[in-house]
Amino acid sequence: MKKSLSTLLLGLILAMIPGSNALAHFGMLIPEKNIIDQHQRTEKITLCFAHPFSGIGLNMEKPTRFFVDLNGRQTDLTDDLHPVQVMKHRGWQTDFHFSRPGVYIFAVEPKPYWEPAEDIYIKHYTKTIVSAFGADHGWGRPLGLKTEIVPLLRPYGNYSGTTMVGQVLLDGKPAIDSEVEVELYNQGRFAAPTAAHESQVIRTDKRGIFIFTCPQPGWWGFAALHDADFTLPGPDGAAKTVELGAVLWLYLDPWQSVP
Amino acid sequence: MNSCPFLLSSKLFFLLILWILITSAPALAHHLSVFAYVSGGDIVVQASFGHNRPVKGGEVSVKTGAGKLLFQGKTDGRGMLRFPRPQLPKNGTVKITVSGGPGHQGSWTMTPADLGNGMAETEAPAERKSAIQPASHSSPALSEEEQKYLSRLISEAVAREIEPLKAMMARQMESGPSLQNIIGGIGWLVGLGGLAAAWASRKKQR
Repeated sequence: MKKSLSTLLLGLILAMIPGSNALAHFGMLIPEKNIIDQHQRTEKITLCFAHPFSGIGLNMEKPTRFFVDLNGRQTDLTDDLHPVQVMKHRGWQTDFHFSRPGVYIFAVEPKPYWEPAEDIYIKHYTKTIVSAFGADHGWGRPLGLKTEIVPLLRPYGNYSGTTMVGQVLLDGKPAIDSEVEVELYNQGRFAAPTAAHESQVIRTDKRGIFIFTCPQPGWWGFAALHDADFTLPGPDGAAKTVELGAVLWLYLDPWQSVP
Repeated sequence: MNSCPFLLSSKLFFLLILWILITSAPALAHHLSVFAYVSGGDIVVQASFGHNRPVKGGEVSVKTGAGKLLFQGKTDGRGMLRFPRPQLPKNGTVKITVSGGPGHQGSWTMTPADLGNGMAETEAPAERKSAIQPASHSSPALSEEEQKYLSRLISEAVAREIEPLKAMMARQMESGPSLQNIIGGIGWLVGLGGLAAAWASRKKQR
């Protein structure tokens, strides 16, 4: 009796492990809006590290670099960040003022996150794109990050049901035949039937291009993952794999009825 | 909107409806976006259709928040118009509307902060004129006040000169050697401005 109970417990624990492993990590970079008009010229931009569908937060250290690119000019915003609580964990936030028209590309290079469950470091280069004051040019420019997703779909002014098309770059070259994880920043709206439903996975083609149709409004995150060509010493001193992620966040508006 | 709008009341009514439709639907495929900023003692208006196409010869009207017409003009070949910043009360706003032909209209409202109304008093044109005069009379050395005026004149001149460069940067869609050229050009202008200031102050001191 005692033995069967402990077996049951062990079985339960084992059953939970793959479940928790199935949660995908995402660097998150979420502005209040991705289209800025002259009525609201300042908005909060929030940085965090989390499982976006399940809403489980993780503590994020102050990033190595957080910046905005406007017409190819980069402005460092790292020192403007202040710590905030996001999903009950440490995230970062800033109020950004849009001073002129342009397509503003925000990007963060985080410190590597140690994930003991997977015995790896995770480092997600994360971007999001905001159009200010009617600007419609330059949203498809790469920033020259170690790895990044370049949208082939204009990344703002879209509805739910739009098909996202993007190209994954690793060291500036198309990342072919590689996996892209997709997750909705669920915010408690939907339940996942199984752990596999937490995120969707697609592969890039021979040009590094992926497509995915987003069936619901909200913020959708795309994370293209590769193991780095270097390792970092773990807490135990052994060399550990570093997972590099290229993450892009895209907002899809709901369809609205004519008032 | 170019054709005379005040012929018949029914036509006026139609145009009014059209205007409401246009202004309430800013995201038309051929939208017209307007942006304005303060440069030196002027307001600079930039108007573009999407895809970096400037609104050439667009009709610009500048009104106070209360609707009083302050200025009218047309954009140049780069979709730009420059006019002296009007005198406004501290909390005054300015609405700039640009019409680029039927179905194309956009506007931009400048807030008191955009207008830099705190500086409006020191940069009033009349005061600026009187400030130049003592500096143009030969005096043994530049007083602190004169140096301030001189540096302000230089900064205004530099602002005027780099304004087309700013517009080029705004149009620049990707980083490239030409962007570096522009930054280099600004560096040159600032450097030349500094040289001019040094030369001017040396001349005065002799």
